[in-house]
Amino acid sequence: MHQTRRPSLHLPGPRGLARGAAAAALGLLVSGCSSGPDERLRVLMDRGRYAQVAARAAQSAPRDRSDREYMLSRMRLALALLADGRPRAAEPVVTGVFDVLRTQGINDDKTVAATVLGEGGVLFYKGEPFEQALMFHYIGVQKALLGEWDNARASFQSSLFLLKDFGENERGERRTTEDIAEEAYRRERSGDGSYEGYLEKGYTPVETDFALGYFMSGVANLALAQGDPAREDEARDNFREAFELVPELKAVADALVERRANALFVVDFGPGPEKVRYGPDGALARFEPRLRDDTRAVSVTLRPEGGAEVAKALNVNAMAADHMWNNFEDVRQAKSSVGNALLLAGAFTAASGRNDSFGPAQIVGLSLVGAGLFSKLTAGADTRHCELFPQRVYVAAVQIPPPAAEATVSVGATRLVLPGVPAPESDQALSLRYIRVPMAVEAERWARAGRVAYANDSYAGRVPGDDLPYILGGRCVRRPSDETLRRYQSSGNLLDMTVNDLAELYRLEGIVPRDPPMPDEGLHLLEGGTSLDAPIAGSAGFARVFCQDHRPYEPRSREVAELSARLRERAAERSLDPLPSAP
Amino acid sequence: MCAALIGVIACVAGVGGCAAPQARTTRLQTRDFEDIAFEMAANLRASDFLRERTAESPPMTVAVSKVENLSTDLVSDGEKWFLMDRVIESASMKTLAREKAVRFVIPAEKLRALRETLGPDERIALERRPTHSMIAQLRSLTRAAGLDRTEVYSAFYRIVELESGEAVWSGDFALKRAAVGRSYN
Repeated sequence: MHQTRRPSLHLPGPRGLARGAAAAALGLLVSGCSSGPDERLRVLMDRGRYAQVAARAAQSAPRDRSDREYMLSRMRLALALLADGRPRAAEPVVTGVFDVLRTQGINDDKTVAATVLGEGGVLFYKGEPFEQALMFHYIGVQKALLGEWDNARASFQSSLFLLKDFGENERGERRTTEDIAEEAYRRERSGDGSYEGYLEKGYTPVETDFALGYFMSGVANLALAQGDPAREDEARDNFREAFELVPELKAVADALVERRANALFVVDFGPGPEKVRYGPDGALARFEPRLRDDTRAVSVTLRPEGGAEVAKALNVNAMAADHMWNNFEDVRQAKSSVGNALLLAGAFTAASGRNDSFGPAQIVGLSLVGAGLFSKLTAGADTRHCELFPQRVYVAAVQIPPPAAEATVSVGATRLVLPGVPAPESDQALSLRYIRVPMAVEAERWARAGRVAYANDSYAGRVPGDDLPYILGGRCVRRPSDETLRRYQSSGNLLDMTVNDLAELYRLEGIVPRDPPMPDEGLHLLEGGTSLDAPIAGSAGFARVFCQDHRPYEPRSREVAELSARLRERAAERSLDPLPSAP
Repeated sequence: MCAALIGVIACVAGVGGCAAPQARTTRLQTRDFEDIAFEMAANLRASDFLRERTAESPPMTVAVSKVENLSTDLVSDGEKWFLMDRVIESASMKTLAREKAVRFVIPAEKLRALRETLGPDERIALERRPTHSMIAQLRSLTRAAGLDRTEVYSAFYRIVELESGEAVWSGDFALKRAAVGRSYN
C-alpha cells in the first residue's frame, strides 16, 4: 500500500492523537458545570440581613420572562422580601411566581436540547415539586399578611397537588433517584419497557403528604368562615388531614378553631437543604441538609400576657429528600451514563486501531470520544435550587390582646423579640405574622432589644424624638403625609411647612416614596438606602430596622442641611431656656 | 352546585379533537372577567326581580361588596371590584336604577378606602342605609392529570334583602379553561 507523507506540523501522529484524546476523555470523568447557589445570599439570609438579600436579588433578577433564571431570581426575591416583612413590595414578585407555577409544560420541548447542552444550560428553572409547593405556601403567606385570605386559600390549596410515588427498594427503604434510574435502566435493558416509559408511568399517583399545605388551607378557610359554615367545615377537614400527617398540629388547630387564638405565627428557622450532585459522574442530584433537623425547644410568649400553642409543621430536609418531591429531570436526562458509554466505547475503538494508520476505526473512535466528551462536559446534574428556603417551619396559635403586644419567639437558644405586634383589625377574625428567625441572631443586639427606636408607618405608638423627620435630625421615618406633618407641628416643629414642602425635602435627598412600594426599592433609609417602605410589625425586618439605633442622617442637599442645622440650633436654645418658675 | 360543575367538566372532557392552540395555563385572563361581568349584567337586567319593579316601587339601596375568590386562582382587588362594577355600571343598569327605584352604593369597606379622596358632599351621598346587599363568589373545580389540567370557574352572584335574609335574585356563569403540559415542568 502506498503511503503518502503528511506535512510536518509537529502534531502527534494519528495513533498518538487517538491515544491522547482517549486519555483526555478518560481524564475528564469529572462533573460538568452549571450555575450554583449564591453563597453571599445564604450568608446574609442566615444573619437576618433580609433587605440586603432582597436588594441583591432584585439587582440580578432578569426582566425577560423567558430567561432561564427568571423564576429562581423571583423566588429568592419573594422570600427575602417576606422575611424582611414587606409583603406589599413582594406583590408583583409573587404574582409573577404564581403565574409561572401555574404554567404547564414550560420545558416540555427542551428535553432534547437539555440532553446535549445540560439541564442548567437549557431548561427554564421552575424548581423541584417541593420547591413549587413551598412557593405556593409563601405566596399564600404573602396574601394572608395583606389580609387577602381568599387569595391565600387559593395559593395554599394549590400546594396540595398529587405526587408520584415510586415506592420502596428491595431493602424496604424509600427509593432514591439513583434507585429509580437503575430500575429504569434495568427495565429498558431487559426489554421490560423503556427508560422514559418507567419514569412516566412507573409510579403511583398519591395524595400529597404536605401537612403544612393542609394546615394553612385550614387557617385560610377559618379566616373566611365568618358567617359561612361551609368554610368552617372545609377548615376542619383541612386540619384533620394536617394532623393525621403531623399529630402535633392538632393543638394549634384546636386553639384556632375554638377561637382561643386570634393570630397565627408562621416561624421559619435554619438554612434549607442544598442540592448536590451524586452518582455516576455527578449526573444525579439530591438535597443534603445544611442544618440537621432536631427537637430543640421552641416557644412564643407575649407581653403583657399570653403564650401560644406551637408545633413544627415541616422539616424541609425530609421533604426534599423524598423522591416524591423531586421531578426526576436528572434521571430523565441520564446524559452522564450515555456519555460514559460513548467514552468507553470510543477509547477502546481508537486504541485498538493499527499503529500508523488513521483509518475508519480511528475516525469512528475519535468521533465517539468527542461525543462522549461533549456529553461529559454537560453531564453534571442541574444543581440550581432556591437556597433561601428554611430548614423547618413552625406554626403557633397566639392570642394577641388589643391593641398590640410584644412577642418573643425562641428557637433553642436563639431569641427574637418583636415589639408592637398588632391584634387583628376588628373586621378580621384572624391575622397572620411571618417570622424568619435568623441563624446568627445571637450576635445582633436588635434581635433582643424589644424597643421601637424610630416612629414608622407600621407602628402607631409614639417614640421619643418622633416630632421631627429622621432626615432633619429626628426619629421619625414615616412617609410625608398630612397626619405625619400634624404630628411634627403639634410639637412646634415645621410650622410654616405644607405636606408638599415636606415631600420636597425628601425629594431633594433622593427619597421618593412609592405607593405601593416596589420590590427593587433597596435598603431602608435607616440602613443607608432611600426606601421608606416600613417592614410590618411582628417581622424580623421590623426589629432589625426600627429596634436599634442607627447613625444620624447626613443630608445630601444644601436645603436639608441648612434646615437641619437651624432646627439643631433651636433645640439647643430651647434646652438653655430657664425652667419656668414653680407656681 | 358541585354536581353541576362536575357535569360541565364531564361534558367538556367528552369533546375532543380541538384544533385551537394548546393553552399552557388555566389561569383566568382579562377576557374571562369581561365575559363574566357581561353575562351577569345581562342576567340581572332580564331577571324577574327587576322586571316586576317600577319607579314607584319601594326604593332599594343595594350595597355592593367585592367578589370573594374561592377559586384556585389569584384574583386581585382590582379584578374583584371590576367583576362587580362592570355589572352595576352598564348603561342600561343606570337607566334601570332610575326607572326601578334601585340604587347601588359601595359598602363601608370600599368607602373607607376612598374616604381620603372624597369630598364632603360625596361622603354624605355614600352614607345611605342599604336595604339589600349584592355579593358574589368565584369558585373553581380542578381536574389534573399527568399532561393536562382542566379548570371550571363559576361565578355566583346574589342580591339579598338584609332584613329577611331572602335572596331576591341570583345568577351564575361558568367557563372552562384547559392547559396541556407537565404541571411540574
